[in-house]
Amino acid sequence: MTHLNKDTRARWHGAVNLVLGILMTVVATSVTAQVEVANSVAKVETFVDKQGVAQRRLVDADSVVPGDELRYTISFTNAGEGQVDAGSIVITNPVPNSTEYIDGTAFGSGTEILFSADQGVTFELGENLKVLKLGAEAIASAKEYTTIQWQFRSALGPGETGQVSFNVKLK
Amino acid sequence: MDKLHRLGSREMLGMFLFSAALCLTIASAPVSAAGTSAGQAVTNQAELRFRLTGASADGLLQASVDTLVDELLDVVVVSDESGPVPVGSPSQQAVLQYSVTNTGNGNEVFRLVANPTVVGDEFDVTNPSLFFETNSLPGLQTGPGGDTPYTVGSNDPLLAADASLVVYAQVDVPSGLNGADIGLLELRAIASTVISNAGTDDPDAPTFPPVATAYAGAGDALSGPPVTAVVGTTHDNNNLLLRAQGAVQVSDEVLALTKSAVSIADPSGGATLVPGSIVTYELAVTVSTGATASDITITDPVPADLIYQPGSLSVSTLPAGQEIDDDFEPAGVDSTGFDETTGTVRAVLGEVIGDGSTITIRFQAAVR
Repeated sequence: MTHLNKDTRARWHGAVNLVLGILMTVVATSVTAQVEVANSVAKVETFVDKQGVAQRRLVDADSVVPGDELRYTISFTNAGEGQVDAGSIVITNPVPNSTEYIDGTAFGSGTEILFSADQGVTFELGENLKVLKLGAEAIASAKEYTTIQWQFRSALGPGETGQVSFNVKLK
Repeated sequence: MDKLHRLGSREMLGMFLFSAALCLTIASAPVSAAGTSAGQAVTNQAELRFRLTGASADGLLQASVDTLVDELLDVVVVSDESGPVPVGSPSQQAVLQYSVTNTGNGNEVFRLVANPTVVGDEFDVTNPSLFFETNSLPGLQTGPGGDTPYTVGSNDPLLAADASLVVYAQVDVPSGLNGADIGLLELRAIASTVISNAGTDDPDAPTFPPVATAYAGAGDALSGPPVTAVVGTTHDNNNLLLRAQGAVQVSDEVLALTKSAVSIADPSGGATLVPGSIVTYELAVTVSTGATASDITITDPVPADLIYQPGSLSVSTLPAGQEIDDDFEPAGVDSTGFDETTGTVRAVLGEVIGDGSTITIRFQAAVR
């Protein structure tokens, strides 16, 4: 294994591998093989089961049209032998172009989830996030969220993984 | 088509006021925006920061995923008429107006089908022919300089996402019908992608595709290679928004009020619509045989893009003692003319005893 130098940040902008799998996953890996992150998308489909009850399921996102609901999942793995510090893992994800965030769908076990309505300049819990409407402060609606941030509380030991996700509607 | 305002009940044969509106209100249906364009990539990019124990700086990783938006096939047809259009029995060339809007997210060619044989009416209109509004003058004008006749398969309209097209249906009404009888004309718009893949333009056919049917490679991407085409919710068989019905209704007392542009003359001797062109309009009023209509007044607002030509108004049969000119003087004698203050052509026909003949009102207007 390669030992870490004092300034290896540049090298951590590692190789980007495009994996055209079922979920169109893109994996970025630090060159030192310490941490890997993957971003994948699936379509949330509503269907009626044999009992006539509406159900939801995840399907391939190989055909999406305006109005569809998409789920993005960001997974990360400590693939190295060293420890990742507790509280140091922060995932920041702008809400994609042509979509709007669906209220209440951001999820991440063991994380604190913050939102921004100003392209990531400031982050707050959703209940505290304010925007100016007609000159007065008001609680931001989910459609106004521009960026989502997950702060992972625990340390991440070798071989351990984590995952966060959120849903959007294609405009 | 002309808007009909009726005052008084049919039994009383009371006062009638017709407004043969030149300026039509183009009803705009609540149509949702088409949404993200077909062929566009939606990119999600996540960034992950972390600190290895003992490291002096954060690590930073990025991962992104692209999704290509497919073409949604959706179209909404609405009738622009506020109610049934009054017609005589028989009558010819009654006009119904519809709007067709591409509510999908890509360019699409649509086939238009006019279907008179629908359930829920008393008779079928005959000889339907369709026209596109193409000469920028509200209402249907036929002939040289007029709107464009539509022939299925030969000039199927291409509509961009969110684009609308006004379509006129010209229909005939058979003789021998009863007053108040309704005839419906259904207009439907079917995406050419559906027709070429499903082999039908009939939503009631078993092979007509259900919502969410996907045709790989058949979708029009605004840029880049073709995408998948997906049948949208306007094709839902329980709520087919891709078709709409307009109605004509046989009127008991006044059997027909039709309006047409009978000629267009441009300044250079042709028949095109350019500034200075003179359009001759004709309104035809027929009262049914044996019926008597009293206090008939026809009003026809001239839209802002036309200038009424002074002295051009003529009425084939005026009540005894009545005169036409544009000053409405003396009161009680000259009630017919062009009212400059309201920009409206007005013709007071008074009491008309129906004998099957037609009263013809003509006037000219110049294009600004």
